[in-house]
Amino acid sequence: MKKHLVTIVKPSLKRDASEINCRECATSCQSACKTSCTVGNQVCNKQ
Amino acid sequence: MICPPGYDFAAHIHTYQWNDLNICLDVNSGAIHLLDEIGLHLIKTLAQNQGDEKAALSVCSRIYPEADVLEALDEIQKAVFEEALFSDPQELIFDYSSLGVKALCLNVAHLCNMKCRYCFASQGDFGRRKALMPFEVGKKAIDFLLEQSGPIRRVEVDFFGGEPLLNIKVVRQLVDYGERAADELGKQIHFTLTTNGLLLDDDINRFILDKQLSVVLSMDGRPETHDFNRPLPDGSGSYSRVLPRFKDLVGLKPASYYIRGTFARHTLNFASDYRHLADLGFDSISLEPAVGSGKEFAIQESDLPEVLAEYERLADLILEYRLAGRDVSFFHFNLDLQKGPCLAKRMTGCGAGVEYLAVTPEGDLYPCHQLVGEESFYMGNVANSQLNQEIRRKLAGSHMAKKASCMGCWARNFCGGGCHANNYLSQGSLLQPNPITCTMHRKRIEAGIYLELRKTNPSSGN
Repeated sequence: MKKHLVTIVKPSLKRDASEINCRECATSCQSACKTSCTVGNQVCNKQ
Repeated sequence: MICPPGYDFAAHIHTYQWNDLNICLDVNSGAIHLLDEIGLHLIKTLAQNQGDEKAALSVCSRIYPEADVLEALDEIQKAVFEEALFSDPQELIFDYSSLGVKALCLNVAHLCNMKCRYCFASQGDFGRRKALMPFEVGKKAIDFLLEQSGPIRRVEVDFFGGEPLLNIKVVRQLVDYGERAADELGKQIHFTLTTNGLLLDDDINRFILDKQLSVVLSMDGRPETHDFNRPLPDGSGSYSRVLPRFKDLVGLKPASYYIRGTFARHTLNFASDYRHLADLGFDSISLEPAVGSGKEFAIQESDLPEVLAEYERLADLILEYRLAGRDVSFFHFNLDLQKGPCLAKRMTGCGAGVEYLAVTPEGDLYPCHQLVGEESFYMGNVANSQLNQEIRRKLAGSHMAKKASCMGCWARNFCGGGCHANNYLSQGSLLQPNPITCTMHRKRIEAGIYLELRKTNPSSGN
């Protein structure tokens, strides 16, 4: 049991790079974001 | 050495404290760790010593018991072995300009029944002639979208303006047409309507519900904030006119909604506006900073201390509501750390001019709603389906990896390199992010990660 470093979110971006690029997710400016490009809060529709 | 020589710690590792949590983001893998005091100190010391474990051990053992430091180092080494810490950047190469167009912002009305102070659309007409989009133009735009989207199955259309409800007849026609045309091609089309609310009524609400439109409802918060920013053409406030309409619509539970507001430099205490909107019963809220170079309302560098403090207040407020049993989301803090977008999506950002285009009432194409009327970004017209490939390549080539300052920033995988329009309009270059915007964005990401971690660690106080 680790006590100094606890991993809450496991690595995911490296896997994503090779496996996913379907472009089926929403475009950020179609959501409630019209002036401040927010991409990290979009949801992947494939997972 | 715990990492390769020359490892850029500032670009690849971000550690910060928010209330009682010590947080570490491994930028390249997306892994996030919670640290105790020794773990945080050790990682920071490793960074200061270019990954030299012996040097870091020596420094930290002067402050903490050596056995504890060795234990922390062992845990860090295990995380490195699992590629969850000090991970290497991944080179992602593909032709961004080959992507299909999958989203359109249809400016169905270049006129407005409000006169908002910060409007980037010059009170609705974008500095052009006032106009409503005819059905035929909108139909061609949807045909263009369906054709250009290629193999992409889900496409999106946002009715925007000006005020799109001033052209509700055409909006209805286009939704009907778009549904039929997409269905024939085996595609899904999703519509969003952005409105100031003045013209909402029972009939339009029924249409929104029947067609499962997502709605973005423009409201800035407290009466004094909203009325100052969003007056009617006669100068009077619009708060009391729009609030009951928004309450009626939200009460009917539309497919998706956001109360979306803007905070400007004269209305910086936006956490109070969030609280006001939450207390009115709204639970999906988005408040964005006013942007624009040299404009009196836009957030300036001197405003940043207050803005950043407001984001901290806002995070605390969200936790307060959670403790009271309410989940009142704030769009720009929303992060799904497990199911977020893939790296390719993150690198291409908003996709303006490549995947996403704005269409004027005349059918003219621009990279996005903010660049409408910028003639150097005119990309063609839906009537002939020809896109200016030079502009398209320029925008496709302005992705995150081409921006030197972004590649040195830990936040790059969340903002995607920033808003093209904001970069161009404030810095004069698509490749140069606006540092004021970046500072606000980094704070929002820190808050978003903190709030997500707090979901799994709710017992600690704040």
